[in-house]
Amino acid sequence: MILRIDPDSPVPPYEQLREQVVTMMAAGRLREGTRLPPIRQLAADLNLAPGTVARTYRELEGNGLVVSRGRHGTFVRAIDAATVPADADAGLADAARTFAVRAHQLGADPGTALDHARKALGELASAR
Amino acid sequence: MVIDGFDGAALLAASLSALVPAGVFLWWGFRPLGRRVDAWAAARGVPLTEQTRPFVTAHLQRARRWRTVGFTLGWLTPYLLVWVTRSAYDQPAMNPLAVTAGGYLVGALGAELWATRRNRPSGAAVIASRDLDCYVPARAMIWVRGAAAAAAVLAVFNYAVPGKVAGNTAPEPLLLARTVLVALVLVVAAEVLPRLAIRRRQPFVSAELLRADDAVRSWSAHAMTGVLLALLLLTVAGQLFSLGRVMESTVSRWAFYLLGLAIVAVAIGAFQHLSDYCWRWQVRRGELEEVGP
Repeated sequence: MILRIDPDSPVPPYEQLREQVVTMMAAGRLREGTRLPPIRQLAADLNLAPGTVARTYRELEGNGLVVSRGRHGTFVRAIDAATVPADADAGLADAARTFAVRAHQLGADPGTALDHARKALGELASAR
Repeated sequence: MVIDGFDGAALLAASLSALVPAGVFLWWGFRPLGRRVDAWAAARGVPLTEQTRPFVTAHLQRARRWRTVGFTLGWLTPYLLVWVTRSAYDQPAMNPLAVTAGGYLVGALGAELWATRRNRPSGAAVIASRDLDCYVPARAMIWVRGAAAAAAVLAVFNYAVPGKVAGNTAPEPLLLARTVLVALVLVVAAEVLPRLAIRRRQPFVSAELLRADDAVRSWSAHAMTGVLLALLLLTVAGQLFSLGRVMESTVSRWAFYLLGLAIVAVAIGAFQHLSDYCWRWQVRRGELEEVGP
């Protein structure tokens, strides 16, 4: 499972990293109990500052998606109703706004943009 | 004839006994790899393609050259010390085999540091932890810890057993402390150094190159573990020889000597086995398919 960081993207690296990890978890590729790489290893591989990767891990932990077990590492938690954050609706609205802005920047009409969104959601659902 | 305070004939004999093997080592380490690359890749399940063959060949060559230079310098160190101190007698106690193995370890480490410098980031990485037991068999580490424990126990035994032969000196606490410290340093090095090879930067370029790179790291970690295990076993053998010297009975004395020699043979075999091109071991890491948003 490959993570990619685009240095030219307006999205900060920690957010790119977080999005990709969440996608992998949602797609069932990162299963419950999977150990994430140590912060220093991932930071060296991606040529990021350790603080950037640490921030991603902190946010994932804050969202209840991973759990840190000290020197044993950071592990993926089961995604169930209990781990869905209380402000999930607000987060979804934010994500939709980001998507809408990006679609608008790319000059896509709303119908095409929604088709792509449905397709991506369908792929995620079929991968689980 | 006397040259610079040394007997000319002795100097010639010493120079030849040092330089001829050194020349053989260098020739051995710098000759073309030939079919060894194919044997190496086959043993590790690495498909050799247009992309992986040059990568593997370059790494094997570089690693072998660094290790050979380290090994040769280790081999020459005792001779150089005689030359520098201008005395064949006032030398610090050193095991030439251990110094040579130490040189090899330094060379292997140098090759890894060199590889780290050349590994440019690609902006992509695999989200999987690189753990030592995926790259080196767990039983090798068990051997390392066992050898360290054996060296420490034998050192204590050596200290506790009173000298029974005429003229035997009293046991020295410093020798005990030195042996335990050496065992401790070696076992810590066996935990740390192979991890340096495994955890150095690994940017993702393609799945086949990643598999080749994993195999290369595993080979380096094997070589370091092998040489550190050999050094620990040599420490064990040294303790057995010491015990043999203080034994009163000839049978016990020779039993310890023979056991020590057997351990030296095991040390050389373990080192050769673990760093061999044809040693079969495949890195155990997870799937590598690409899943991105």
